[in-house]
Amino acid sequence: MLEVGPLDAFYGDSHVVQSASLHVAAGEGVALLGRNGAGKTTLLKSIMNAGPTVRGPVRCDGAELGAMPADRRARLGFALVPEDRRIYPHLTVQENLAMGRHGARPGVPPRSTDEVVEMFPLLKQLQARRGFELSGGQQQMLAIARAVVARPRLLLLDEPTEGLAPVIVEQLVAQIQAIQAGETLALLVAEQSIWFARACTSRLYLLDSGRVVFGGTWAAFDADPGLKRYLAL
Amino acid sequence: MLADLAGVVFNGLFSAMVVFIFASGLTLLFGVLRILNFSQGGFFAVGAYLAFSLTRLLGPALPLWRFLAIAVVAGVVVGALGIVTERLVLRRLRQVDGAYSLIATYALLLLVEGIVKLIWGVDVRSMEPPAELSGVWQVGDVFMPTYALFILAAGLALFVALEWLLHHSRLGKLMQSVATDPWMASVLGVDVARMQTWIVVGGFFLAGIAGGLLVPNQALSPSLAGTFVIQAFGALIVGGMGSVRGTFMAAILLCVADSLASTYLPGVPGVFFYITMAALLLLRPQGLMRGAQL
Repeated sequence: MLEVGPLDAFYGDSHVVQSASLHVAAGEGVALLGRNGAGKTTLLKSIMNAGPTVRGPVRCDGAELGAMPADRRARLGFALVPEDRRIYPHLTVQENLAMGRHGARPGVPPRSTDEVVEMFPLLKQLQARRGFELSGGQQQMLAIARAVVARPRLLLLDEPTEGLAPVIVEQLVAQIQAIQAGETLALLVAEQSIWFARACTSRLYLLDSGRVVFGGTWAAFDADPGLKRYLAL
Repeated sequence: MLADLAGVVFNGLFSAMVVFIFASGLTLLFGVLRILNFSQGGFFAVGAYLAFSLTRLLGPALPLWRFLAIAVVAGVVVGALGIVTERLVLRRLRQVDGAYSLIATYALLLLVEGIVKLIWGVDVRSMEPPAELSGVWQVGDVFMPTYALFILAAGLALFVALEWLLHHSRLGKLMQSVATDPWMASVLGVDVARMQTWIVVGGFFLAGIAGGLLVPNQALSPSLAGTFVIQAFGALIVGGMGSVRGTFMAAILLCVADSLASTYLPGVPGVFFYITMAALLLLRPQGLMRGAQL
């Protein structure tokens, strides 16, 4: 479904991602692991074409996306949940969810608010709250809920568990698995939490200093203890 | 004495609505796009001259409906100029420091003033308001020109319409979202560039229609906008940079204070607008509505 690279990404003069290649099949869950600053966020934003200067191909179903802007990629079925969540503070939960409808693919009606709230019951009581009144965990739920409103085909999650209580992380895993059971949703998760990544994905890539240093199954990752050095602080 | 006071306040409110009508487009552009558009005054003058020429063209009689229709036409034409300006100039200013956009829009103001001179010449012209708005209403001892009452109503209507649009309509929520976080809006699938073009068109439409509505009783010259621009920027700044509500309140405070002071301290006319502005900024350096959305 998604084929990337070899791709280079830059912020000004700094060469953040260096000839990285990866692919994600339809409905597949793939993790992107690496230390802080390894280039995970930049790589996710490059796939969305939202920020970094990108050189190298990003393909969706075999078609090169070229310079296609982020909003059109959203309407192609890509959804990015950024690390800082970016909930609109002045909008209510309902209105934040409604913003997600702009990414609906042509001919695919977006999910209704009721439907989304059913999937993320935590949001039920909060619908009239404004973004700035939410806790970190609630904001993360809302950010993911807002991203799935448009029924994306590829969900790019950037550090979704950062700062969340363990019980919330468990709920998040269950919700993501429930969505994937319902429809074909590919997942690319950038994470520091190996536990969460393992629970949501079947394969992983390791990123170190902007380069992909490993790609394979979790079993292959476990079989090579030397790889852990790419994650150690 | 009391009637005097009422008349003075009325005059202040009239000036306030003139300033607000002028400043509304400025506020929209700054509130959503963070562009301080110096050239707004030039495009206001284009709207005023267009209205003047159209009125001449259509013959001596000027019924109210035609006056309004001409103002709308002026708004639409200037709005269309907004598309051109956005493509050629404003779009290139998105990524640069605010100082550059001030200089660029100031240059644009000079350019537009030059074009106005080329088309309409440098003679001062004037135009009567439509017959329906030429009278005077008397309430007690206070005389209120019908045209001033009309501008008061128009300013209020514009304020209510913009408030509703920005805070209660879906389009307004979208505009606020684009204003607060354009990056996230584009990631969510909003065509931010197109949205921004439409906001420029809206801001320019407001400049054009302001020109059409405010042209009667003005000395129409290429530098018409000069005084308005300064006062409008004053209202924009005191209001909190980009809040429609703030600009509206600031325009009223500044103009009524100025009107009162000019009456009771006639030795220093026109200074109190700026003194009040300085005082308000000392009291609330962030502006009246800082932190509020649009």
